Amino acid sequence: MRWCTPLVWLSTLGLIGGCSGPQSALEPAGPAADIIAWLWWGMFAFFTLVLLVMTGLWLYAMQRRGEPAKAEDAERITSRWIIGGGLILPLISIAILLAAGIPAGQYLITLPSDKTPLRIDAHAHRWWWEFSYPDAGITTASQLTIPVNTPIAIHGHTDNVIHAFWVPRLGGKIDLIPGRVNTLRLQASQTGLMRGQCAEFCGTGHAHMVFQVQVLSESDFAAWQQRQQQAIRVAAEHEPAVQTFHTHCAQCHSVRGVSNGSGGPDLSGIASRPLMLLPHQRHTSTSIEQWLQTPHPRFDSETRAATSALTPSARERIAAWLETLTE
Amino acid sequence: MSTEDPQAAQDFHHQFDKVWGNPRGLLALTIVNHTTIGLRFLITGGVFFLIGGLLAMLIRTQLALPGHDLLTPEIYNQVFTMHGTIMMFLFAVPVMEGLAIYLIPKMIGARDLVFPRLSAFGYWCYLFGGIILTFSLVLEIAPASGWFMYAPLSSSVFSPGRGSDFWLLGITFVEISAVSAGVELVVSIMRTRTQRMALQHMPLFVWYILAMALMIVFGFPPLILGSILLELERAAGLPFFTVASGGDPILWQHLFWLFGHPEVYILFLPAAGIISTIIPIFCKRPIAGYRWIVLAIITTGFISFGLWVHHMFTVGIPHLAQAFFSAASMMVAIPTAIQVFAWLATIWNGRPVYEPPMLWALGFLFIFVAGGLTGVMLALVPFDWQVHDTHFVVAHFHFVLVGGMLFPLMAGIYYWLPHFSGRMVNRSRARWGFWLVFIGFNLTFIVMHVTGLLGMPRRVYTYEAGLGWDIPNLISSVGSFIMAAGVATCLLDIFLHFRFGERAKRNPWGADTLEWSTSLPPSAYNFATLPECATRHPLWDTPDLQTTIEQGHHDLATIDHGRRETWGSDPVTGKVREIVHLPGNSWLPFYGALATAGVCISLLCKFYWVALAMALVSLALLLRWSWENGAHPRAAPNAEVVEGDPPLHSRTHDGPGLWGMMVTLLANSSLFLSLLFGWFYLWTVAPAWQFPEHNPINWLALMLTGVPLTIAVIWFVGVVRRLRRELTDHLQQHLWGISALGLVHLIGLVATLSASPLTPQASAHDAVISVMLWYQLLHSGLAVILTALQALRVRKGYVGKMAPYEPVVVERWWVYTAGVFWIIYAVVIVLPPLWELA
Repeated sequence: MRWCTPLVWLSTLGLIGGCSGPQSALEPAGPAADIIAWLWWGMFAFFTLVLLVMTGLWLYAMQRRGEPAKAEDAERITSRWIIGGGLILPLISIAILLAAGIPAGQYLITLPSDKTPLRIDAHAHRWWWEFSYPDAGITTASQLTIPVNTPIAIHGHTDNVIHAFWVPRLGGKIDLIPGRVNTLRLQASQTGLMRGQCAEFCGTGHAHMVFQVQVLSESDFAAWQQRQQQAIRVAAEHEPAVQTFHTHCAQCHSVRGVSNGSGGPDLSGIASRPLMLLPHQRHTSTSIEQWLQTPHPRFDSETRAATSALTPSARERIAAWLETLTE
Repeated sequence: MSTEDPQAAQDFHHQFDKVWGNPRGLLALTIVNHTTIGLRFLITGGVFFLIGGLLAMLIRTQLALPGHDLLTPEIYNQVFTMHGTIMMFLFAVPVMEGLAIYLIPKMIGARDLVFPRLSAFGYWCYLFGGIILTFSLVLEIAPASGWFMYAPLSSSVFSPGRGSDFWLLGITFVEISAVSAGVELVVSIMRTRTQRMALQHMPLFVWYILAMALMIVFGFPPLILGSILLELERAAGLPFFTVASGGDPILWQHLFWLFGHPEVYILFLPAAGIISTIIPIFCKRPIAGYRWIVLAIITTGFISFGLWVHHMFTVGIPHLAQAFFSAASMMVAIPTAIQVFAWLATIWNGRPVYEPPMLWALGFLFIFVAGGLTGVMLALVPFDWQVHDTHFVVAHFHFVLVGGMLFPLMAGIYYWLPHFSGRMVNRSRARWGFWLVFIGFNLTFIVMHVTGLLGMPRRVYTYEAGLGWDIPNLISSVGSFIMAAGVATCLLDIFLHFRFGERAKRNPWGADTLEWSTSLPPSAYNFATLPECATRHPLWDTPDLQTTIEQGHHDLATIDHGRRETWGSDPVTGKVREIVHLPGNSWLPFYGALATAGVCISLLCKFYWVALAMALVSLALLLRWSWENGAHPRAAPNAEVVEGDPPLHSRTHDGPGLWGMMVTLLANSSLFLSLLFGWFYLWTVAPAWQFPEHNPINWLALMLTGVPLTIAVIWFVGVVRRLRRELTDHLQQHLWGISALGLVHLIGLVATLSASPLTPQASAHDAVISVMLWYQLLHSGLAVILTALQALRVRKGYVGKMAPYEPVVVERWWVYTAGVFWIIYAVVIVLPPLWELA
């Protein structure tokens, strides 16, 4: 064990060197995640020390040679270890931890700021995310766009099973529970893309319940918001596609200014979104057409039922139109 | 009887064997002896461990590479659900119970556990429940909503197949076994220790098991209740967890973790007990800080019931409450640290030797301390918000459970193997096994902390490349296979040792506790004669104890009466008070469990009438079992004892049966309190809870049914009081009268219930009331039947002035039943209008 322990820890440290990633809690991009990462590194350092000292003591005690302790010495050694290690050490550690942890928790819940927070409603479906901005009247699917350095108030709800909203680079998670609305404060301190994922097991599609977070500068965000509020103008060449869309799709899917369906994801910005099972790729007419032809048998039974009636040319038309719908 | 003559000694033991010995062939199914039952638990648990381990290998293979499609999500969800379920319910708890069942009587100087037929019944329930549950895996319809079965994912809407039903019914069935073992261990430890073994002389392992057994008694009923409610929701549409009808899915989480957190300590305490047993032996000196450790055990038991909310920090509970549970969760580090430093002090003071058990104990220390430390991290609320439900948590609890349970268990198995088999293991193979498991484990799970911090959630069947999760997952998978190779090596070692191991000499490790004074392997009766034991280290103080026990120099040396006997003693001082006579081998536990399995299977198939019939059959079998007690010809018709010995327990007023009833009622009241908790929780928290305008239960009718019940209880208490003064005139008529009065109450209750416009499928309010009243019906009905049976037994002469002990037991049931009735009355009828007024 002597030779093994440092080896294992060294390899761990080596791994931690590579602690970045689009969903890594160790690469914080906002004040809440920052605090949590600091808490982690502090606890990691202290507890590693405790573990090494404890193991060292045990190994030393195992190897110690010489006469066994006499009765009265043994008594003294016992109370010294038990009171020192069993009472004082944990009490002090707990006091320090709580002194750091409780105020940190309070700060994370409120995330004080001069700006009024931007409210975004997160609605968890099986197995995709719907985000709406009640003040601006915008709804998007599977993509969360937020302004940098602005407090965000996520109001999470669901009408099916329990899910959890989680963007590790921004902060902790919150469960979305039927019958309740839970809120979470987040803030991003840098622009860019990151990844969020459902963290509460929600059934077959749990692993794919992913969303992309796009952090924009404040001016870019304002422009984005404005674009999202304008109705989509349908070019003449896509009119036939829109007609087919109305017949087969519009009951569930809305497209701004075109249809007002509910239940399925809003398709207004579909061409700017990652694919469900291939998040590195954007939707193109080919990928949409493929999906329409064979919707995923496991995760998309609704589309499957609706699209079985589509002719190949109708699929092609709709895909060509949807490809033009960018954010 | 004492004898130095070898021929006479052989005859002496031959006589004992005739009374205690185990039959072979088919009749082996009738064995009730704790040594056999304990070994059966251990072996069956080992088989389930292998199945659970196989599932773990599937999980690690699937996750080894990004986008791996070895398993579909449907199958993967079944696999991880069953991995957790099997490891927790079919391996960890039963194995620890099995070890306790095997060891406890031997450690406290008893010949068997106090309710041997219950041990056998528990084993069969465990085996049948486990088979039913595992069978679902073969059919590919295993439960797939996680071992935590969160509603509403586990509801009939989102899990329409039979998977959740397998879990809910199978686990409840297995839990019957856990609770019965819990009851039996508590009563055995409190009431059957050998002469003069006071509480402060008990080996530490016995203290740990006492705490574990009590925690099972209190901790399992919330989950049993939760499972019953969820199954009622799934099968009959009672909406306890459906928001729209006034239920709340969070209630399930509370009930589950009210069980789930104590469960962790139910596993850890016996494991720590093994460590506390082994370390002193291999350091050749008494444990340091015995009193500190006892205090730590008791504290852990209490604190562990106040932590469950730390599994729910992300459900949106007020921060103040979170801070409270955070502090409470960290507090549990104190009793744990006390034990760790007491072990350290023991090693420091002694001259330790590296034998295989000690190696596992060292591995335990490193892994468990690391797991405990990450546990303290997780108790810090903001950190938990980040890593909750990630692989960090998976890594943490594997450190705690493998480190805190599997490693000590292996230490214990290596330590007691000579006791099971009479042979020693091969030291070098044992070392190989240990190091492979230790290295494989650490490789798998240290790295998994990082996977979690990099953002990988739990319970995902796959992940995409490029998230930084590929390498850590691959390392974890490689590590898990090294660990599997280590487990295989250990198993091989253990298998081979039964055949090739060198014969163990007496007390091979130089231990101090009584279990090493039996022969190796032990006879069914453990001790031919029961020694006095007013010390913590009987074998260190009296090394030739085994010889004097075998030669018959101690107590209870007669066997020609044909009764299985052991001491019944005072719970505190261990002073002998009576002779407990134990039942012999019987088919009833096997048939009873078979009928209960029938209930379980017919419920699964939705044959509800068959289920009812089966339930009646199992009730009849259990009552038949209770019939063969006391002065019954198959129990102890003849009460003669050797001059100077105390009386048989069935001839006293305070036998172990009374204790059995009290501990059972503790478990029962834990179930009832959970139901009350559900009522108040839904009332105050559920988003759509509503009281109907008029209470569906007629307050006057319900109150009137309580009158005959209350009179019956007062009457019964009076009868028992007279019985204690040996006044038994018209005892039979009194009992018939009480039973009849109970019947009047029962009929009134059924009438009230059927006349009330309850709509349990429409509102959670009515659903909870219905369950309360069904619970009441069950209790009142049993009280009536048990009392009628007592009257019959008086008539038969099995109960009376000379054998007064059974009515005392039934009395407690009546008092409990009446108490439950009036509590239900208060919370259903009285409180709601009072609340409105306030």
